[in-house]
Amino acid sequence: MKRLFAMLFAVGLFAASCGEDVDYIPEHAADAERFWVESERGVWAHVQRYPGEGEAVVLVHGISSNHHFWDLMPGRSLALYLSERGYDVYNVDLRGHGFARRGADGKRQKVGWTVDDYGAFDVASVVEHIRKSRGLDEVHYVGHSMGGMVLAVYMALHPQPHLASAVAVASPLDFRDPDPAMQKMLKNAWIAKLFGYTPTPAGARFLVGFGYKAPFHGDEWVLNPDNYEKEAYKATMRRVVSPLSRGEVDQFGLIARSDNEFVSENGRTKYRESLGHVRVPMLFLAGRADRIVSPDRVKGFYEAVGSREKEFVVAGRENGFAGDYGHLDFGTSDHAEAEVFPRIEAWIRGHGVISEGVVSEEADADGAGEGTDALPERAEGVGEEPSPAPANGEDASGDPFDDLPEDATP
Amino acid sequence: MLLLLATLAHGAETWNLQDLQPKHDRHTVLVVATPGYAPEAFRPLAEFLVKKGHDVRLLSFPCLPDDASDYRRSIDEAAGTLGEHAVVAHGLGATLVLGTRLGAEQLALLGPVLAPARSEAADLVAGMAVGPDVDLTISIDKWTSGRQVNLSVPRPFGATDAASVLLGEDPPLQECASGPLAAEVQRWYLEGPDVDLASIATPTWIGVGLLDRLSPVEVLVPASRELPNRRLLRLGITRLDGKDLDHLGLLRDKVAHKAAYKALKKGDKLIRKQEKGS
Repeated sequence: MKRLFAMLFAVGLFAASCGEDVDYIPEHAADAERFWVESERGVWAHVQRYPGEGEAVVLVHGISSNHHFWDLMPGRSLALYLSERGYDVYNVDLRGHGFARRGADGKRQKVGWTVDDYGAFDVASVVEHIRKSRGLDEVHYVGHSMGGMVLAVYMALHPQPHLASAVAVASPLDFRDPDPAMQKMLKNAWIAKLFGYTPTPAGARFLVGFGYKAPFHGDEWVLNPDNYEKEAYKATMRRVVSPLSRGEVDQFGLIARSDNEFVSENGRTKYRESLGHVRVPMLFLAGRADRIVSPDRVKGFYEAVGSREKEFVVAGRENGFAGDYGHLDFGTSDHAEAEVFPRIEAWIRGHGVISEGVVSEEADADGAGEGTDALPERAEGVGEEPSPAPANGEDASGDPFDDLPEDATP
Repeated sequence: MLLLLATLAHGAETWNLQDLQPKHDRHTVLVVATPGYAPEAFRPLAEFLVKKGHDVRLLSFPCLPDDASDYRRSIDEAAGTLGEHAVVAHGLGATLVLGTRLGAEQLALLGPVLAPARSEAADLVAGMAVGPDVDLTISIDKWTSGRQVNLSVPRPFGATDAASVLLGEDPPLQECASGPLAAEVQRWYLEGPDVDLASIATPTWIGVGLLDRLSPVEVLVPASRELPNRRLLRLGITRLDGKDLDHLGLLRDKVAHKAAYKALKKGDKLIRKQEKGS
């Protein structure tokens, strides 16, 4: 048995050492525009843009992931799919992920940001940047997994978010009745907190080193191998995984310690109870075989928003899908382009905002530092109340969650 | 080989109660088979509980044109022949149990249907005309008219049929089921079962399967929160069980059998603790 484990470990280490890097730019994306948006002073989100004259769509990846999730390769790229249909696509790397591991100045960005930070600053800044540069009032938003939680934060903070529509894909907001293994991991999050980040990419490469079927069903936690041909499976495992930040781990640990409620870092805002004011038309997609975010967790999100127009779909065989979707399958699996992308596009198209002649000519997206004049500010007076130590351990100078709108709380 | 069929009780031919291993110094467990399912499908679960030391009775039903209240009455009658006991049931059988008088000390339910569970496949089945008042020979190819429903005719769904999608391969269905019950079950899928969950005080454990399409997790988990005294367990890979379970997996798989057994054991401890406390 020991020998078997040693062999597995050796194979995994080898696999981990020879994977691709998230900085890899695939051929299809060579001509895409790339730029940074400063979302707080000296902190940057990165955007890979496929410009178009149509509606602007913001794509946001999930936890421990990056922009590759929505743009893996032709035939497995929502970004390309939308771009080919005339949309103006902004594929975001949240601070510390993918290309945003470095800032516009080329230096490595600090690590340890939380889900709150992404929603309060990165999303808000990217949306503002697009609104200004395109002269649009509203944009569309598609978030995968934590990308949807980030959206929840943004919407909780903005009574009237500048969103024409939103799609939350495998995004949890209801963490009650936790999975036993997940609960144990979250309650022992202090292990991951010993380091600035958890090197999940090495773990993914370890798993992919075994080919299609990883030992102990390790790969089935993140995707359904039945829905992948070999090359796409490997590319997904190698490219879409970014390190897990200490701040993210911290906030998920906080969920486990807060009666399984997704709460803000300072513990004051329960997001599930803070979205009643939301009127954005929202589509929710959940995967029947999603072991990270089971469909009931997405349903909790669906039920939390006050939108009159909302739809909840489970991607499983009982609803005519070719297979049961796992967590990553929505962006990169064999059937995503035929089954998922058209649904998302139809939702966006059904809630369009651009009429003839509205599109601005001001689009200018090649420079670093765009949108810095519209930086959202941290409210004053933060740190007065005991709260979990700022995960980033840095100079957070304010707390936007003190300023939650009246109508954002029940 | 286990001692089977040691005793056999009948309730006016509407139910059969088999005592799988009569040792009456043990905890009694009533396993309720779901109408429309072959009783043999419940044997592995029942026998596992026997192996673990329970005194198990398996309650099954012949194919009669009874409605839900008739079945519930039968369950009550059968349970009335027992002393202190726990009930284990699966799927729609578990839903029936929740509408009985509930004299059991505790319930262990695998994939019960607690609320409307819509899906394209379920809607297809739920939308079919069944029941005593509809001449099914006209509207539905081989489904028989009148008081019984023929379960052996597949309903096409995509490249396969609805039963295979909803239940998995090789579902252990009987040849027929009650027409009136089938009509009620259809209504359960569209509107929810006629059970007041909030009023059920009996300690209830619920086993959930991620791949269960008949009682899907997004319906079952939130609905089960209405039960005032409930415990819930997600079976499957996230519990390191090695696989995720679909609706039939919750009936057939050892993982589910073990979980139900452990749930009864823990439930029993909790009940004794409460008794001591009070």
